[in-house]
Amino acid sequence: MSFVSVDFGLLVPELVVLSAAFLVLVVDLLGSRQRGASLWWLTLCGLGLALLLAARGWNLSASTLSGTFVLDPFVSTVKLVFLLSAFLVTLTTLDCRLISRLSLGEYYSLLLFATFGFMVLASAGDLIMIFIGLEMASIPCYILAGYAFEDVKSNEAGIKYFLLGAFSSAILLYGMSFLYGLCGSTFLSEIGFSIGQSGQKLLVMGAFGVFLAGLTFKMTVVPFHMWVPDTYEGSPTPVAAFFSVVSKTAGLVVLIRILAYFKQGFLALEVDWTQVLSILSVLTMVVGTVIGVVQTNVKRLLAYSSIAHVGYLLIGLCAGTSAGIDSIVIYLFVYLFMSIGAFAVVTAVSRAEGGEELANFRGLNRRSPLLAASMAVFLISLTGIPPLAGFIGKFFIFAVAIEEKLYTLAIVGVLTSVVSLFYYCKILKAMYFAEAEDPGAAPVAVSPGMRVGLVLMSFFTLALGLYPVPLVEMARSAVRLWLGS
Amino acid sequence: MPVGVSHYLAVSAVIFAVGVAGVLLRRNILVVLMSIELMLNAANLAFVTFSRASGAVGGQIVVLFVMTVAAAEVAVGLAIVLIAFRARETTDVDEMNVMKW
Amino acid sequence: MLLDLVYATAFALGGLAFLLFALFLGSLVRPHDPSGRKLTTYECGEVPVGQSWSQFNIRFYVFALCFVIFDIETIFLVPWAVVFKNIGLVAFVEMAVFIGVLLIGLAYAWRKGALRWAL
Repeated sequence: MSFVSVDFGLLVPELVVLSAAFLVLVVDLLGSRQRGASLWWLTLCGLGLALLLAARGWNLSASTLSGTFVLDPFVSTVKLVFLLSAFLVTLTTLDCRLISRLSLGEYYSLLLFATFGFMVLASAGDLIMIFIGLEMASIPCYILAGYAFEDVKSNEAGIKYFLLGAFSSAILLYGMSFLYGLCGSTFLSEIGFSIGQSGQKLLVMGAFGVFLAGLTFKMTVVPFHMWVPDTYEGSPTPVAAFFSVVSKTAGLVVLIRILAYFKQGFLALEVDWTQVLSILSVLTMVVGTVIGVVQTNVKRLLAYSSIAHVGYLLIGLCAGTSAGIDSIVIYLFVYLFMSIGAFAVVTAVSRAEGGEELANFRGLNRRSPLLAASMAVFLISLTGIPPLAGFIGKFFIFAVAIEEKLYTLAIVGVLTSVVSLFYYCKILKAMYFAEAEDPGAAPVAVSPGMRVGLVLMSFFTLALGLYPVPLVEMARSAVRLWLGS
Repeated sequence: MPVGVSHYLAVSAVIFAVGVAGVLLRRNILVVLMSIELMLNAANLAFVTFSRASGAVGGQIVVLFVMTVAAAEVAVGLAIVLIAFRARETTDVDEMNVMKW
Repeated sequence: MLLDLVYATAFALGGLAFLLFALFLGSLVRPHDPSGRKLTTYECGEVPVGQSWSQFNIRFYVFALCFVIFDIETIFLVPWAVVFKNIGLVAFVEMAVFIGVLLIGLAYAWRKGALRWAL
């Protein structure tokens, strides 16, 4: 009788992250009193090592654990996004007002566990792995959102995230059960094959629709976005930064991969999800932007902006071509630096000011030119103005949309980008042209990690805008290798 | 009238609907939590039914994992609710309204 | 099919009848001597105090959690034990790793003082 053989070589980045998580726990237990710094270094080293290993095995295409764990260049690229995000979030964590007084051992290990879960989720080759990966990622995230447990807002963020997250997981699972029932297999490739044969168009649509609803919750697509602003506003800011990139990316990647697996089946049944996705995309862009306009809390504003950005990402998916997926990968890398960067500045300001209202940003240029300048870079990039990286991201997305004749999406995308300029400008204006409420306030102190992180992220936001060729090449070859195999 | 797949699925659908209604309508967090568990178990029932009907064991494996995950989820959820209760002396979701819009 | 339902109903009724019959027999034989103590709710030999909707001590919660970890572990232990002979050493090592991870969790809770009764 045969048993499942495991090719551990393919799991190395995941195992490194997991070991780092356990190591952090153990060191936190056994270490001396001043162990905070060593835990921080341990987390960074673990993530850095995993990053290197994932990048080294980038062009591998294989599967293991009897096909439940799939590795291909596209998945590896996405894992780079996760690992980079976790790395940058850790780098900028120490300045967080809410959690800097707490013991951070559990924080780091939860961050690593969540990263591990997201990596497994991205690699999932069957329904079981999708569910387990999703939950291994979500459960640490619930705790992270409520990590500053003495803070009422953080706790509330945890509760809201938990209730809606668990609710959406249950919906997702129910959709899965019917996909399984229709096809008699949990493997995505087999399901994709047999939904075409089943001929049960309505049932397939219903099951996948329920599944999609659960997934869009995680992706913060608009009808299911209610929890996002509250969760982001209440969570410790580095955690919000982590959510804003990683959890959305994970949901999107699962959707992209499933649509690729099911493509033939849907074609055979003449089911087309492009219409649904387009409507969701338009809604997401519009709601994220319009409600963002009236926000006065910068963290909340960034939360709405991150919702709008999911709308842009969905355009790439609506295109349904490999060029569309290229543009999504490019956008993800660009978005990672600017989003985590913007949240990092909020982290630093919030510690100095005790809040993250717009008023707290007044006169920031006087008090900390570094923070103000890097925030300006991130915000202008988020708007999508050349020559910064955000422009490259949006350029490719909109180019694909026009190529595929999705004119409505492109027009809505451009219009919402223009509107978003308005609310990003509010922050810019406060930083550069408004006087601080207290003119004699001390300069904002930032930790060395934060300084390095900000410089890194500003650098990449600039560099990818000026010279995007390597990124574009990488995205293209990753998607081509994946879809070609 | 033998009890067949469709009966189990009907029960599962009813349980799921009860769970969804509970999440949407009830105001006590603990009841909401239980409703979410109901939804998960409805999905479990559907998985087992399909597994039994098709003879593929995948569905039963899913159920094992779902049970584990549900336990972990409840543990974490209760811990978060507990802290909220300490701070506010209530488990009413409507009271969780420090942040709006 | 209808016959099945008849069987099931007959069983249910039979069970109910048996219960009532036993109680009836008991009431014929036993002495009838109510006293205050006897009429209180039976609670494992404890004197029942207050409402049954009392608040449980919050400290039970941590123990319940630790219990749940090892309770759920059985879900994986049973299928593992069933196929253990077929897989052999690999299965043993894998389960050892799994339990080891759980034990790290327990050790963590212990070391952090979660298992101490006094808060």
